[in-house]
Amino acid sequence: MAMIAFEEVTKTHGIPGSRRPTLDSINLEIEPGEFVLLTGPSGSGKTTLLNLVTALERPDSGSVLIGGRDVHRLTSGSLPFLRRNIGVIHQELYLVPEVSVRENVRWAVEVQGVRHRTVRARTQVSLELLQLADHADSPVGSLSRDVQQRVAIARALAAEPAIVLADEPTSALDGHYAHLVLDLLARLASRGTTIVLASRSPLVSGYVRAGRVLQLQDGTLRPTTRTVIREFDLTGGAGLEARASESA
Amino acid sequence: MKNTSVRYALRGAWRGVAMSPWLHAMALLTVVLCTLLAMSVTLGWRNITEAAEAQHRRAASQPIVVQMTTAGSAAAAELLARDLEGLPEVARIELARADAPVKAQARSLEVYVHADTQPEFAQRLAHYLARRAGVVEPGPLTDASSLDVRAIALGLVVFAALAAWLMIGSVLRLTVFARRGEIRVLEMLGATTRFIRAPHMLLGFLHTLLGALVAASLLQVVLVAFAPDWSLLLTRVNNGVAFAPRFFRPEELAVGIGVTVLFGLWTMRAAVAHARRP
Repeated sequence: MAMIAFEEVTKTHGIPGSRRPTLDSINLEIEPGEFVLLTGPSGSGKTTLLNLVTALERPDSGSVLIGGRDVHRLTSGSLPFLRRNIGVIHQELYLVPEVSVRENVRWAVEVQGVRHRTVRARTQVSLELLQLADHADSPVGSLSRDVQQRVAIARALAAEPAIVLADEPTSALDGHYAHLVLDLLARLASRGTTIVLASRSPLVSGYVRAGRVLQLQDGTLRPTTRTVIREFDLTGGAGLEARASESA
Repeated sequence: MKNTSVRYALRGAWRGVAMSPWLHAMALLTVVLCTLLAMSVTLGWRNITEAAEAQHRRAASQPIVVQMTTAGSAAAAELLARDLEGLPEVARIELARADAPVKAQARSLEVYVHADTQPEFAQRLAHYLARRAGVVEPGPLTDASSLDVRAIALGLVVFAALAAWLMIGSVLRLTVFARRGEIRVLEMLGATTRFIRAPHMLLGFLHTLLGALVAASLLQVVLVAFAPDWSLLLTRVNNGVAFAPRFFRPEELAVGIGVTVLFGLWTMRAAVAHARRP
């Protein structure tokens, strides 16, 4: 069974009278543990597609299934349980600026209702993975955009979700941190987490040797290109740097 | 509720106060002032009502004397007595003796009513007697002004309660509105409704409980400090019948505070639901 499935999904935006389909009869299946890179120009519907998975938007027609269950038929009581299993890195970040980095990250684990010790441990690991330990007690609003983006990523990964949806996760990051994040996502995929990464950045497209590259254009998915999956270096950034220079 | 939810609720409530201390101080002050207003008016109404009832009990123990005109015949007085005897509120009627030394030509009736008769009966009787031929004036009757004061006071109670609830509701909603970003984020992270609500409900509970307790304490202090003045005022309102004001009974106070707290919780619940709407 596919982890994520889109069945004839259509979504339109715009004012009545001049509505145009952002997504037009999309059919897509993403398997568990698959790494999918979603590309396409700005406004092509990448964010809408991700929002449909987390039920932040509703399709006009068709179904979005997660693990075989239609997301948009879930009751309001069931929706939180779905969302806890999906780590989302939004373009807008959706952080609370007055609150510390640690608190922002901790919420993602806390909502799962796990033990306090687990909350602390997962939060700390996630902060360290994204090299945020030094900023842990700073209010998010006092930090630069690139640090904030890493906080959003740390929060998405802290909950150890089954699916990670990343919308332009490296847009504000420099090369070092972009590689760090992409490496992390690759490691997660190799351990069975389903990753859907939406990006129009050439850096990401050139760097990520994704399991599948999908291109969204004019509301439709262009024929998919299955690329050769290179072995991800699970030992960390050094291998990635080497691969980056190799591909250059 | 799980341990982590409780921790989040406590931390979230504290963070809410720390992030906007002035807003929460204003919320608490509003609860104190509005509850004080509602309690004061309710207490005023209670005391006026009890004073009026005391006056009525006193009046009911004395007969209503109906003085007939000099030209009025004994037959007219007896006919009136028979008519009044048929009323359920009337306990008994005594006809003054015809050979009484004062105003020997006039006759009078003494109407005794049952102790549990409503004060409004005296007014109805007065209207009836005013239209009856041969009657000079009835007296003493319950003063209509005490009934009017009670009605006005009850109207004020309703108005004050509605105004207080509206004010408290609005300012409590503001505290939730200030954190709608956090609510939205938690919702996207998969927090349950109970988890999101918890810190706000806790704050609503604390604000209303503390506010109502402070208001009740202030009111009691004011009542004790100005007891002689209140007593004088109520005695005047009460046509000279002495009446000492009293504070709420403990069970009345508990109900008042309980209702305020429940209102606070209900407001917070509604405010969070409103903040979650897209």
